[in-house]
Amino acid sequence: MTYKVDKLCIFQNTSHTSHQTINSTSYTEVSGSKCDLNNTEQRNMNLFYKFNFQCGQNPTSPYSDDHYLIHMKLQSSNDNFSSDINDIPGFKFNIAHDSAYAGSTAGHDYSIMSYTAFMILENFNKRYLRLVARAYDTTNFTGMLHGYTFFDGASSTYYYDTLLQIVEI
Amino acid sequence: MSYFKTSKKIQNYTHNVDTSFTKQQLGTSIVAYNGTEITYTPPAGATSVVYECSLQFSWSPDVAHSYACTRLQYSDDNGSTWNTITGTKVLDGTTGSVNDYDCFLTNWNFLIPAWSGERKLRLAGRAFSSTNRCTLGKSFGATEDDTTSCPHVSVYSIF
Repeated sequence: MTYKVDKLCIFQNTSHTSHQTINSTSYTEVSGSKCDLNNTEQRNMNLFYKFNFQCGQNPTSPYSDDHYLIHMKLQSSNDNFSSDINDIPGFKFNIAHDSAYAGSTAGHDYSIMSYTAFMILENFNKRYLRLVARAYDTTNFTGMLHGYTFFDGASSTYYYDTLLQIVEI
Repeated sequence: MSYFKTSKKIQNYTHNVDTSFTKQQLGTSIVAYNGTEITYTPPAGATSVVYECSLQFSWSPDVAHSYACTRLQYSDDNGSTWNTITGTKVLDGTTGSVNDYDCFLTNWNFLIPAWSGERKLRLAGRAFSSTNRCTLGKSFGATEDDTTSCPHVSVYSIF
Protein backbone atom coordinates (compact mmCIF):
# COMPACT_ATOMS: atom_id res chain seq x y z
CA MET A 1 0.00 0.00 0.00
CA THR A 2 1.29 3.45 -0.86
CA TYR A 3 0.13 6.90 0.14
CA LYS A 4 0.29 10.10 -1.83
CA VAL A 5 1.14 12.74 0.76
CA ASP A 6 2.32 15.56 -1.50
CA LYS A 7 -1.04 16.70 -2.77
CA LEU A 8 -1.55 19.55 -5.17
CA CYS A 9 -2.34 22.89 -3.53
CA ILE A 10 -2.12 26.01 -5.69
CA PHE A 11 -2.99 29.58 -4.79
CA GLN A 12 -2.62 31.97 -7.71
CA ASN A 13 -3.22 35.64 -7.06
CA THR A 14 -3.37 37.96 -10.08
CA SER A 15 -2.98 41.71 -9.76
CA HIS A 16 -4.80 43.17 -12.73
CA THR A 17 -3.76 46.47 -14.29
CA SER A 18 -6.59 46.58 -16.79
CA HIS A 19 -10.19 45.54 -16.98
CA GLN A 20 -11.24 42.72 -19.26
CA THR A 21 -14.25 43.49 -21.40
CA ILE A 22 -16.39 40.54 -22.43
CA ASN A 23 -18.08 41.93 -25.53
CA SER A 24 -17.72 39.16 -28.07
CA THR A 25 -19.68 36.01 -28.81
CA SER A 26 -16.41 34.10 -29.11
CA TYR A 27 -15.02 32.57 -25.96
CA THR A 28 -11.93 34.20 -24.52
CA GLU A 29 -9.74 33.19 -21.60
CA VAL A 30 -10.58 34.87 -18.30
CA SER A 31 -7.40 36.57 -17.09
CA GLY A 32 -6.04 34.95 -13.96
CA SER A 33 -8.10 31.77 -14.32
CA LYS A 34 -5.51 29.63 -16.09
CA CYS A 35 -3.19 27.41 -14.15
CA ASP A 36 -0.48 24.91 -14.96
CA LEU A 37 -0.96 21.97 -12.58
CA ASN A 38 2.38 20.61 -13.76
CA ASN A 39 0.74 17.20 -13.92
CA THR A 40 3.26 15.85 -16.41
CA GLU A 41 2.74 12.26 -15.32
CA GLN A 42 -1.01 12.60 -16.00
CA ARG A 43 -1.89 11.39 -12.53
CA ASN A 44 -5.61 11.05 -11.75
CA MET A 45 -6.62 13.58 -9.11
CA ASN A 46 -9.75 14.78 -7.38
CA LEU A 47 -9.56 18.59 -7.26
CA PHE A 48 -11.53 21.62 -6.40
CA TYR A 49 -11.18 24.67 -8.62
CA LYS A 50 -12.22 27.91 -6.94
CA PHE A 51 -11.96 31.28 -8.68
CA ASN A 52 -12.94 34.59 -7.11
CA PHE A 53 -13.54 37.46 -9.51
CA GLN A 54 -15.74 40.46 -10.18
CA CYS A 55 -18.07 41.30 -13.07
CA GLY A 56 -19.97 44.48 -13.85
CA GLN A 57 -21.96 45.96 -16.67
CA ASN A 58 -19.79 47.18 -19.50
CA PRO A 59 -19.27 50.95 -19.05
CA THR A 60 -17.85 51.27 -22.56
CA SER A 61 -20.87 49.71 -24.21
CA PRO A 62 -22.53 51.92 -26.82
CA TYR A 63 -25.86 50.65 -25.53
CA SER A 64 -27.01 52.67 -22.57
CA ASP A 65 -29.14 49.90 -21.14
CA ASP A 66 -26.56 47.18 -21.34
CA HIS A 67 -26.78 44.29 -18.88
CA TYR A 68 -24.32 41.51 -18.67
CA LEU A 69 -25.28 37.96 -19.54
CA ILE A 70 -22.03 36.07 -19.63
CA HIS A 71 -21.50 32.41 -20.49
CA MET A 72 -18.57 30.80 -18.73
CA LYS A 73 -17.09 27.33 -18.88
CA LEU A 74 -14.10 25.43 -17.57
CA GLN A 75 -11.64 23.99 -20.05
CA SER A 76 -8.70 21.61 -19.79
CA SER A 77 -5.60 21.05 -21.89
CA ASN A 78 -2.31 19.21 -22.03
CA ASP A 79 -0.57 21.70 -24.34
CA ASN A 80 -1.39 25.08 -22.78
CA PHE A 81 -4.52 25.38 -24.94
CA SER A 82 -2.54 25.39 -28.15
CA SER A 83 -4.43 22.62 -29.94
CA ASP A 84 -5.65 20.41 -27.11
CA ILE A 85 -8.69 22.34 -25.85
CA ASN A 86 -11.47 20.51 -24.07
CA ASP A 87 -14.69 21.72 -22.51
CA ILE A 88 -15.26 19.82 -19.29
CA PRO A 89 -18.78 18.33 -19.33
CA GLY A 90 -21.05 19.85 -16.70
CA PHE A 91 -18.88 22.87 -15.98
CA LYS A 92 -20.79 25.62 -17.78
CA PHE A 93 -22.58 28.45 -16.00
CA ASN A 94 -24.02 31.92 -16.57
CA ILE A 95 -23.80 35.16 -14.64
CA ALA A 96 -26.49 37.75 -15.34
CA HIS A 97 -28.85 40.27 -13.81
CA ASP A 98 -32.33 41.11 -15.08
CA SER A 99 -31.23 40.46 -18.62
CA ALA A 100 -34.83 39.97 -19.79
CA TYR A 101 -35.13 43.74 -20.15
CA ALA A 102 -31.73 44.40 -21.70
CA GLY A 103 -31.93 47.18 -24.23
CA SER A 104 -34.97 48.66 -22.60
CA THR A 105 -35.45 51.08 -19.73
CA ALA A 106 -38.21 48.90 -18.28
CA GLY A 107 -37.30 46.90 -15.25
CA HIS A 108 -33.59 46.83 -15.94
CA ASP A 109 -30.93 46.15 -13.37
CA TYR A 110 -27.38 47.35 -13.62
CA SER A 111 -25.14 45.31 -11.42
CA ILE A 112 -21.58 44.90 -10.27
CA MET A 113 -20.95 41.72 -8.34
CA SER A 114 -18.27 39.49 -6.90
CA TYR A 115 -18.46 35.84 -7.81
CA THR A 116 -16.76 32.67 -6.66
CA ALA A 117 -16.90 29.80 -9.12
CA PHE A 118 -16.42 26.56 -7.22
CA MET A 119 -16.16 23.26 -9.06
CA ILE A 120 -15.00 19.76 -8.18
CA LEU A 121 -13.24 17.58 -10.74
CA GLU A 122 -13.06 13.84 -10.24
CA ASN A 123 -10.27 11.70 -11.69
CA PHE A 124 -8.82 14.68 -13.52
CA ASN A 125 -5.52 13.98 -15.26
CA LYS A 126 -4.85 16.96 -17.52
CA ARG A 127 -2.15 19.58 -17.04
CA TYR A 128 -3.92 22.92 -17.54
CA LEU A 129 -7.24 24.43 -16.47
CA ARG A 130 -8.85 27.74 -17.33
CA LEU A 131 -12.17 29.55 -17.50
CA VAL A 132 -13.37 31.06 -20.75
CA ALA A 133 -16.18 33.57 -21.17
CA ARG A 134 -18.33 35.15 -23.88
CA ALA A 135 -21.32 37.49 -24.01
CA TYR A 136 -24.76 36.21 -24.92
CA ASP A 137 -24.75 38.74 -27.73
CA THR A 138 -22.83 41.89 -28.58
CA THR A 139 -25.69 44.36 -28.30
CA ASN A 140 -27.03 44.46 -24.78
CA PHE A 141 -25.39 41.68 -22.83
CA THR A 142 -21.70 42.53 -22.51
CA GLY A 143 -19.75 42.84 -19.28
CA MET A 144 -16.45 43.81 -17.74
CA LEU A 145 -14.26 41.81 -15.36
CA HIS A 146 -11.68 42.63 -12.66
CA GLY A 147 -12.89 45.93 -11.23
CA TYR A 148 -14.86 48.96 -12.22
CA THR A 149 -14.80 52.66 -12.95
CA PHE A 150 -16.66 53.99 -9.90
CA PHE A 151 -15.85 53.74 -6.19
CA ASP A 152 -16.53 55.65 -2.98
CA GLY A 153 -19.07 57.98 -4.52
CA ALA A 154 -17.05 59.12 -7.51
CA SER A 155 -15.65 58.13 -10.87
CA SER A 156 -12.62 56.15 -9.74
CA THR A 157 -11.07 53.21 -11.54
CA TYR A 158 -9.98 50.25 -9.44
CA TYR A 159 -8.75 46.76 -10.23
CA TYR A 160 -9.78 43.73 -8.22
CA ASP A 161 -7.21 40.99 -7.68
CA THR A 162 -8.47 37.57 -8.68
CA LEU A 163 -7.60 34.54 -6.59
CA LEU A 164 -7.53 31.04 -8.04
CA GLN A 165 -7.34 28.10 -5.66
CA ILE A 166 -6.79 24.57 -6.93
CA VAL A 167 -6.55 21.99 -4.19
CA GLU A 168 -6.33 18.22 -4.43
CA ILE A 169 -8.88 16.56 -2.19
CA MET B 1 -1.05 41.93 -14.77
CA SER B 2 1.22 40.06 -12.41
CA TYR B 3 0.91 36.66 -10.83
CA PHE B 4 1.82 35.25 -7.48
CA LYS B 5 1.64 31.49 -7.43
CA THR B 6 2.40 29.18 -4.58
CA SER B 7 1.89 25.45 -4.39
CA LYS B 8 2.50 24.47 -0.83
CA LYS B 9 0.41 23.93 2.23
CA ILE B 10 -2.16 25.55 4.48
CA GLN B 11 -1.58 26.11 8.20
CA ASN B 12 -2.93 28.07 11.18
CA TYR B 13 -6.52 28.19 10.04
CA THR B 14 -8.69 30.48 12.15
CA HIS B 15 -12.16 31.92 11.76
CA ASN B 16 -14.63 34.48 13.04
CA VAL B 17 -18.36 33.78 13.08
CA ASP B 18 -19.86 36.34 15.41
CA THR B 19 -23.43 35.22 16.07
CA SER B 20 -23.97 38.27 18.29
CA PHE B 21 -23.42 40.34 15.17
CA THR B 22 -25.58 43.46 14.70
CA LYS B 23 -26.73 44.44 11.23
CA GLN B 24 -25.22 47.64 9.94
CA GLN B 25 -26.59 50.22 7.52
CA LEU B 26 -23.83 51.76 5.42
CA GLY B 27 -23.70 55.51 4.79
CA THR B 28 -21.14 57.62 2.99
CA SER B 29 -18.41 57.43 5.63
CA ILE B 30 -16.03 54.47 5.62
CA VAL B 31 -16.69 52.24 8.62
CA ALA B 32 -15.48 48.84 9.80
CA TYR B 33 -17.84 46.01 8.92
CA ASN B 34 -19.19 44.36 12.04
CA GLY B 35 -18.00 40.82 12.56
CA THR B 36 -15.12 40.92 10.09
CA GLU B 37 -12.15 41.82 12.30
CA ILE B 38 -9.64 39.17 13.15
CA THR B 39 -6.26 39.30 14.87
CA TYR B 40 -3.76 37.01 13.22
CA THR B 41 -0.10 36.11 13.46
CA PRO B 42 1.27 34.10 10.51
CA PRO B 43 3.57 31.25 11.50
CA ALA B 44 7.25 31.53 10.70
CA GLY B 45 7.95 30.65 7.09
CA ALA B 46 4.52 31.48 5.73
CA THR B 47 4.63 33.25 2.39
CA SER B 48 1.02 34.45 2.17
CA VAL B 49 -2.15 34.84 4.14
CA VAL B 50 -5.63 34.24 2.76
CA TYR B 51 -8.58 36.23 4.13
CA GLU B 52 -11.97 34.94 3.01
CA CYS B 53 -15.34 36.39 3.91
CA SER B 54 -18.91 35.60 2.98
CA LEU B 55 -21.62 38.09 3.96
CA GLN B 56 -24.99 39.39 2.89
CA PHE B 57 -26.12 42.83 1.81
CA SER B 58 -29.76 43.81 1.52
CA TRP B 59 -31.50 46.62 -0.34
CA SER B 60 -32.41 48.53 2.82
CA PRO B 61 -33.04 51.47 2.82
CA ASP B 62 -32.56 52.37 -0.87
CA VAL B 63 -34.86 49.84 -2.45
CA ALA B 64 -33.74 50.24 -6.06
CA HIS B 65 -30.10 51.29 -5.90
CA SER B 66 -27.77 49.69 -3.37
CA TYR B 67 -24.00 49.58 -3.70
CA ALA B 68 -21.32 48.75 -1.14
CA CYS B 69 -17.73 49.92 -1.62
CA THR B 70 -15.64 47.40 0.31
CA ARG B 71 -11.92 47.01 0.99
CA LEU B 72 -9.63 44.87 3.15
CA GLN B 73 -7.65 46.79 5.76
CA TYR B 74 -4.92 45.99 8.27
CA SER B 75 -3.62 47.55 11.45
CA ASP B 76 -0.20 47.01 12.99
CA ASP B 77 -0.94 49.19 16.03
CA ASN B 78 -3.84 47.32 17.59
CA GLY B 79 -6.49 49.18 15.61
CA SER B 80 -5.35 52.77 16.07
CA THR B 81 -4.69 53.25 12.38
CA TRP B 82 -5.88 51.22 9.41
CA ASN B 83 -4.38 50.79 5.94
CA THR B 84 -6.20 49.64 2.81
CA ILE B 85 -4.52 46.77 0.98
CA THR B 86 -3.95 47.31 -2.75
CA GLY B 87 -6.09 45.20 -5.04
CA THR B 88 -8.83 44.58 -2.49
CA LYS B 89 -11.26 47.38 -3.33
CA VAL B 90 -14.50 45.92 -4.59
CA LEU B 91 -17.89 47.37 -5.51
CA ASP B 92 -21.00 45.20 -5.21
CA GLY B 93 -24.58 46.14 -5.88
CA THR B 94 -27.42 46.72 -8.30
CA THR B 95 -29.44 49.54 -9.79
CA GLY B 96 -32.99 48.98 -10.95
CA SER B 97 -35.43 51.23 -12.74
CA VAL B 98 -38.06 49.95 -10.34
CA ASN B 99 -37.94 49.09 -6.66
CA ASP B 100 -36.48 45.63 -6.87
CA TYR B 101 -35.47 44.94 -3.25
CA ASP B 102 -32.28 43.07 -4.08
CA CYS B 103 -30.38 41.03 -1.52
CA PHE B 104 -27.09 39.47 -2.45
CA LEU B 105 -24.52 37.21 -0.88
CA THR B 106 -20.93 38.16 -1.54
CA ASN B 107 -17.83 36.06 -1.14
CA TRP B 108 -14.39 37.61 -1.32
CA ASN B 109 -11.07 35.75 -1.29
CA PHE B 110 -7.96 37.86 -0.75
CA LEU B 111 -4.38 36.64 -0.80
CA ILE B 112 -1.86 39.01 0.78
CA PRO B 113 1.85 38.74 1.64
CA ALA B 114 2.61 37.30 5.07
CA TRP B 115 4.01 39.54 7.79
CA SER B 116 5.88 39.19 11.05
CA GLY B 117 4.07 39.54 14.35
CA GLU B 118 0.46 40.27 15.19
CA ARG B 119 -1.78 42.17 12.81
CA LYS B 120 -5.48 42.99 12.73
CA LEU B 121 -7.45 42.50 9.53
CA ARG B 122 -10.95 43.75 8.81
CA LEU B 123 -13.30 44.72 6.04
CA ALA B 124 -14.39 48.33 5.85
CA GLY B 125 -16.54 50.25 3.45
CA ARG B 126 -19.32 52.67 2.69
CA ALA B 127 -22.32 53.06 0.44
CA PHE B 128 -21.48 54.41 -2.99
CA SER B 129 -23.58 57.52 -2.30
CA SER B 130 -26.32 58.79 -0.03
CA THR B 131 -28.90 57.35 -2.42
CA ASN B 132 -27.13 54.02 -2.87
CA ARG B 133 -27.23 52.76 0.70
CA CYS B 134 -27.48 49.15 1.78
CA THR B 135 -27.44 47.15 4.98
CA LEU B 136 -24.82 44.61 5.89
CA GLY B 137 -26.23 41.46 7.44
CA LYS B 138 -29.91 42.31 7.19
CA SER B 139 -31.89 39.26 6.27
CA PHE B 140 -35.56 38.42 5.90
CA GLY B 141 -37.16 35.13 6.84
CA ALA B 142 -40.38 33.66 5.56
CA THR B 143 -42.19 34.51 8.78
CA GLU B 144 -39.76 36.87 10.40
CA ASP B 145 -38.34 40.21 9.35
CA ASP B 146 -35.05 41.68 10.39
CA THR B 147 -33.16 38.54 11.20
CA THR B 148 -29.44 38.99 10.95
CA SER B 149 -26.94 37.18 8.78
CA CYS B 150 -23.46 37.44 10.25
CA PRO B 151 -20.27 37.51 8.18
CA HIS B 152 -18.27 34.29 8.02
CA VAL B 153 -14.55 34.98 8.02
CA SER B 154 -11.68 32.54 7.68
CA VAL B 155 -7.98 33.30 7.67
CA TYR B 156 -5.10 30.91 7.05
CA SER B 157 -1.47 30.88 6.02
CA ILE B 158 0.16 29.47 2.91
CA PHE B 159 3.66 28.05 2.87
